[in-house]
Amino acid sequence: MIGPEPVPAPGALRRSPAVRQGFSVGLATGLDGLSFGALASSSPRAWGCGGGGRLLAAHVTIDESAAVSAAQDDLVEACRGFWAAGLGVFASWNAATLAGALVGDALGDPRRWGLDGAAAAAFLALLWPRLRRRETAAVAALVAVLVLPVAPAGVPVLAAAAAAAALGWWRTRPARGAA
Amino acid sequence: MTGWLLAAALACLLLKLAGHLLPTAVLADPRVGRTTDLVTAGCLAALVVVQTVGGDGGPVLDARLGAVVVAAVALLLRAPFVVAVLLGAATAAGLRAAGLG
Repeated sequence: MIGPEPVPAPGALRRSPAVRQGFSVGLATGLDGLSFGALASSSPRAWGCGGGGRLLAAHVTIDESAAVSAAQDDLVEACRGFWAAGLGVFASWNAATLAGALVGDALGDPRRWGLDGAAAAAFLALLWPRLRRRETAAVAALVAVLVLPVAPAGVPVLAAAAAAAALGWWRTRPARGAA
Repeated sequence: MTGWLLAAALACLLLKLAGHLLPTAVLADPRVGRTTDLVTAGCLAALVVVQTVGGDGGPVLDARLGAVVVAAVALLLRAPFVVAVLLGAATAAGLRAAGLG
């Protein structure tokens, strides 16, 4: 797999696993944004959380920043943790991407270096702290396995997300007084 | 091609921004909190599956499975994120160098 790959046509890209997987990760982090948004909006004057910084805040809302902020007890610390983790990952992520772009060709087939194994391990490590939701994770994994052979790339993750949403919605009691 | 990539990136950003701009009242419902929590866990569980056994024509078992097993053992032993990822890469690379997967 050394050398330039053929450029996919737009239709092929729409079926591209990378785009769909990216969107699924985006969906997961979008929901992180939801919980962080709840935290931030409960006190808009908190350090750097509210107002015009929200566009930037949305950009650095990722698993790491959401997890660090959720682990803090008070709001100011939660905001500091959010920005420290978010901007820290942003800087190192882009530095690593640049390094990959500069020396990537010299590496040859990334599979030889186990990079596909590293990606699977990374998703597992991100899931690990959430394994208290064992039942949902198991159902989602099962849905993904069942859908994998019959659907185009990206669909298994979205189907699993839909199954998890359904589990969460119907198995949680609605708030008192809500419809 | 670039257009599709930009569109997907923009959709992700808007999704995240929507989370930050939602009114607090929507988030007060514990049902919403629990559902978003579970969707995140579900997405990640599915991504583990797809990244581990996903292939062009259906599930494939190869060196990636070994990588995930080793990473799981490392995480059980409370290894940090980076260590688990590096062990996963080393395992997959090692298995392939040995001619497996």
